[in-house]
Amino acid sequence: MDFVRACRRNAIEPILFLSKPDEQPSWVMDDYYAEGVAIQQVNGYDADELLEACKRLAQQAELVAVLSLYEYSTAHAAQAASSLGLRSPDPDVVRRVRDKAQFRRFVFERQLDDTRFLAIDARSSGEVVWPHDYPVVVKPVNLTGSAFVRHCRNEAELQTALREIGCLSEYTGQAVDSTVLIEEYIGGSEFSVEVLNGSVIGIVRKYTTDHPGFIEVGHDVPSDIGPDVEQSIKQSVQQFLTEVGYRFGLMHIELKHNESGVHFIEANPRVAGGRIPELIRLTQGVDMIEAYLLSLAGGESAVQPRSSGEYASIRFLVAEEEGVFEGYREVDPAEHPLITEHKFYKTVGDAFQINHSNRDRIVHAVAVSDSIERNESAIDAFFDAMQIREVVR
Amino acid sequence: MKNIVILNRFPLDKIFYHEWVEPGDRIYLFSNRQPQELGAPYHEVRFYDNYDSSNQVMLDVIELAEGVSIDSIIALSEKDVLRAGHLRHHLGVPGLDLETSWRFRDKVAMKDALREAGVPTASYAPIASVTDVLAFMKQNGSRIVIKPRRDAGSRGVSLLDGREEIHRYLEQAAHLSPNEAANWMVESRIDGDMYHVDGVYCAGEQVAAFPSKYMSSCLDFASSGALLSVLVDKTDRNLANLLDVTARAVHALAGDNGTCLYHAELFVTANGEVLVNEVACRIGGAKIYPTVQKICQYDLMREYVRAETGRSPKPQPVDYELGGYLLIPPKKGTVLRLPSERKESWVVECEFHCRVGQVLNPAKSSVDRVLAGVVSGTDMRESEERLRDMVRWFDENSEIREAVEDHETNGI
Repeated sequence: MDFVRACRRNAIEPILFLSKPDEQPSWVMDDYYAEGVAIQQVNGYDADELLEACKRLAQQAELVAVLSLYEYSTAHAAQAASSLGLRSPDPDVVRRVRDKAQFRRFVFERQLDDTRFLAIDARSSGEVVWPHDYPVVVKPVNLTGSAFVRHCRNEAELQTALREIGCLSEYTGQAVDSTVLIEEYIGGSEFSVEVLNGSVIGIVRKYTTDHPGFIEVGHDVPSDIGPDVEQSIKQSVQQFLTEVGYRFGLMHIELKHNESGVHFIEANPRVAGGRIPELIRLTQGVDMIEAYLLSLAGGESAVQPRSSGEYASIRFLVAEEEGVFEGYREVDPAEHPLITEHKFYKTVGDAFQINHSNRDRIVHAVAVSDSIERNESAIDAFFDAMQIREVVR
Repeated sequence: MKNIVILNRFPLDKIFYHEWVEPGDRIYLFSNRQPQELGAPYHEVRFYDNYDSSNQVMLDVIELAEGVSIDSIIALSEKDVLRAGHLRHHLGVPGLDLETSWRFRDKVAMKDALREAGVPTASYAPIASVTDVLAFMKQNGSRIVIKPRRDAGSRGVSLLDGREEIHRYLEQAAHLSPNEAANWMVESRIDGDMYHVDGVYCAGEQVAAFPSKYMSSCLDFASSGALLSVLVDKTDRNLANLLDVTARAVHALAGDNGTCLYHAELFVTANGEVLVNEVACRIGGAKIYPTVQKICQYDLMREYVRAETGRSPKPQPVDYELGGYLLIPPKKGTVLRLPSERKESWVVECEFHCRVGQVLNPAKSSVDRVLAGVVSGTDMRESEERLRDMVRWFDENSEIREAVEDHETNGI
């Protein structure tokens, strides 16, 4: 909804393309309906259909931008915008970094990261042998949201993960590429770096589960790292952006930092999920979404973060066992003054299975204060008061 | 050795396709997403997150056919009938093709084929707008049924009686506007008992047919009434007629050489006339499969799979036992108490589909349930008595209370 509101603040009318509006969960659609957003049934996974729909729109009104906030259609949106002569990220670069195997190969070949890896076809019949030490991380190359990313501690877990991805043909409407990336597991602290038009806007500390999947369960902004680590991260990111030739657009880069330096995890040419733009807005004074929208529409491309001196944190409560979301206690916001927002990802009555991915999230809460510790305590108290843990089975 | 494609929506820990084929056969399973280890017995498995709506399923089968000669395509679920028909047609695989599967799936095409074959049905008409309903009412009277042409589980079915009630319905029926109405039809209401016949039809021949009688209406779920069904006595005066009309109906739909599993619903009027309500080429819902399997000792799905893969299905046993099943639909509220289990020998299955503390929503279709059971009985009367005994036992020993609004439970 941040994007919708940013459009409206700038007298731009958003038109939302969805392939199957009826199949979207109500927690996604309710806000759009409430805001009266125009929704057209267009398949954003189909480049030709998307371009044709944009051309039709352009005949009816001044089309100022085409963009996707959703990972799977970023490349098609960039391609459509380029075809229509609109400002856009370079579609070739978007395609290259979206494919996790291509990205890994690129940073390895350019000596930006020496993480060892193997890209294989999970549907081929041959036995896969990982020639280095365990643990490893196994990833489908074209999914997002930590879906089917697995932490494998030994050969048996690796083979199970490969079979799991190999027999998955479609996920959330997306055909699953049979190429699977196996890479060595890198320890250390995890961060994401948010980039707008070539500039680093913020560094976010990330928390994930560790096994069998990597569900993102929290983010902090600012990340509370020392100047040396910050410098090292920024330098690596700038080097990557230069090498890959990404000068315009949003980029959400995930990486780890340990004693051997910076190691890239992946780069996503889209706005960060998990409310990261909101955490940045709250603490750095930059509305990345609005700034990006304005730059797409031909406005100023550069923005200057200004730290408020506060910390913003988000924590996600995730389901650990399959069950039914049966309810929660209504909480008086006045009793939780540090909490700035919360949102459910499931509707009361929803049955859910376990995906070991971000799809397992039930609810999030955001807190802002003068320390990460205070934020964590405030969110814990908020979740406790809602009694969500007790009613999810 | 045969290459068999199976389109599956059933839990793979309950349906064991690999046990129904010959050693050496290769099963290529295309399924809704399930734990990966359940796919282990199959030659190749593909899972789909959005199985019901994903075109990827068909694209993958077509891609498979580029390298593998597919001998059979098996589909046991209503939602896979058309998908399988299109694939067989496109790939030249024997079995129900585009036209025959459409006849089973679209109730107007079905009734057209039945009428052409002289199989009795209620009067019917497709709906293109409310005008068709009014014209139908003028010709056939005002006791009508409006229902979707392609759905299952009695979803969307409305029984209407009298001009006033029909007008009230039409005033609210946005789905019958000219742009939306293509999936709807109208029929005359038939006064009579409803039966279902579940069987296997192989290469134009009836292999098995098990008739049952609904002792309650399929539409009772809307008022939280239990769904009861009992296998028909072999001495029942309607039996021969039921089997004859069913056989003619399946033949009219599946054709001279067709092979299918079917679930037929029929009305028997007070004067003994049998009319076909509808026929689906899939396994019957509710507890029909376990009832026939455990009471009659006949595995409908297994024998259909054998027939569809060119093997001889087992003939129907002549002296099968009798019994029936029940489904008790959920009603809105929180489950506060449930009975303990039944131990009588005639209780063949008794499964709770809810637990204490669970918040229930009202049933949306005739196969939603909080309790499902299968019983044996020496005849229809005893089977019915036992089913009603199960319903009483559940009602007397369970408590489902409508949620009480208070600030402590908001959101429930």
